[in-house]
Amino acid sequence: VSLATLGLLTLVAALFAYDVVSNRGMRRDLWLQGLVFAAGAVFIAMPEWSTRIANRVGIGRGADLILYLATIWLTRESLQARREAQSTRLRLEELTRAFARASAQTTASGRAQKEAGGGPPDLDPSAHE
Amino acid sequence: VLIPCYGDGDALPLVLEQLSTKLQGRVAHVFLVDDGNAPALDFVRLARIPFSFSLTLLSHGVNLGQGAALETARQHALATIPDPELIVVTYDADGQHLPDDALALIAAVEAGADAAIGNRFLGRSNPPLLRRVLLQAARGFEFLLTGRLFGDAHNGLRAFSRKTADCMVIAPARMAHATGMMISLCRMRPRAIIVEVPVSIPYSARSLAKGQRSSAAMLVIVDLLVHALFRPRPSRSLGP
Repeated sequence: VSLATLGLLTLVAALFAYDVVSNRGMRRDLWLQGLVFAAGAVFIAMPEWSTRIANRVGIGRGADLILYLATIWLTRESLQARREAQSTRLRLEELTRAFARASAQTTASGRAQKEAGGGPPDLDPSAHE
Repeated sequence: VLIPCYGDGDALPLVLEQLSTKLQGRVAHVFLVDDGNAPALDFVRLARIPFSFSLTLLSHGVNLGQGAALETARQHALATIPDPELIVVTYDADGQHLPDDALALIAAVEAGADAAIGNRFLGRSNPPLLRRVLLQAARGFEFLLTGRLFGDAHNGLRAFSRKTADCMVIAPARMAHATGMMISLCRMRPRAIIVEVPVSIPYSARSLAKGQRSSAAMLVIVDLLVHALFRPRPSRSLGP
């Protein structure tokens, strides 16, 4: 076992242990993470296995196969996370705006103007967009 | 007049008083948005000042950004004032705009323009060299996105007719809204009459320290890209 293999295996194990402890083992997706990490650990320890699989599907090296899959998956995850963050931000914006408009305060001078026929009317939910 | 306020609470009373003096004799309403200030703007204190206009305070529970604050004010103004002759003005809370310039923009819209935007290069402004260079680059960038070459970009002083304000959207939430709203305006009303009016922005150490940093130019571009790429389909509005 090379030093690099040992280092990578230790990293995988340490990351997984940290995630289990910090999530107190309560999250179901830890099983999925454990499964993917275990598969990764196997391919780190036995690189010829991934090469054998890669050869069967017409790719030269096992590392290339893993790289292609990881790149596709991570790109998709990154875009999905960005999409969801943007969607959450817009929802927060709508919610904050709705609260701000529902609790708007108008000055007496505004009311005086309104009585003179010029000011904004009282907040009437049916009059809003 | 739509005024977003975040971190400018100390300058605000003077800004409102100056505006109040100049708007005397007009039916005017100021929609002030407290964009998550801590401490929050004191409505009772502001209500004690005898402004010539009515003042509506809209409070964002969290800081969303200047674009979102302007959009809140725009929606509320249009929903609460049915007047078809309404003119919507965007105005900064930090005191860098002159009320006389706002009146000049209003006059331009009253004269028939769909939108009037401030141009600091036609007025008596003294932007530092780096700011000048960045604003020229921003002009070019805005031209690529809107197809129209304006003399100034990212000027906070603008006026819109009701028809124009009705069909545009002020987004994205942060600083890129200045370009975002021009894209929205040019897309929704491609033949809109947009005039540029000379305005003066006196730059001081304080306004430069508080204003948009030059390094934020890249963030504006990223913000616009993210907004354009990841904007979800419009959902049902939560607004009243």
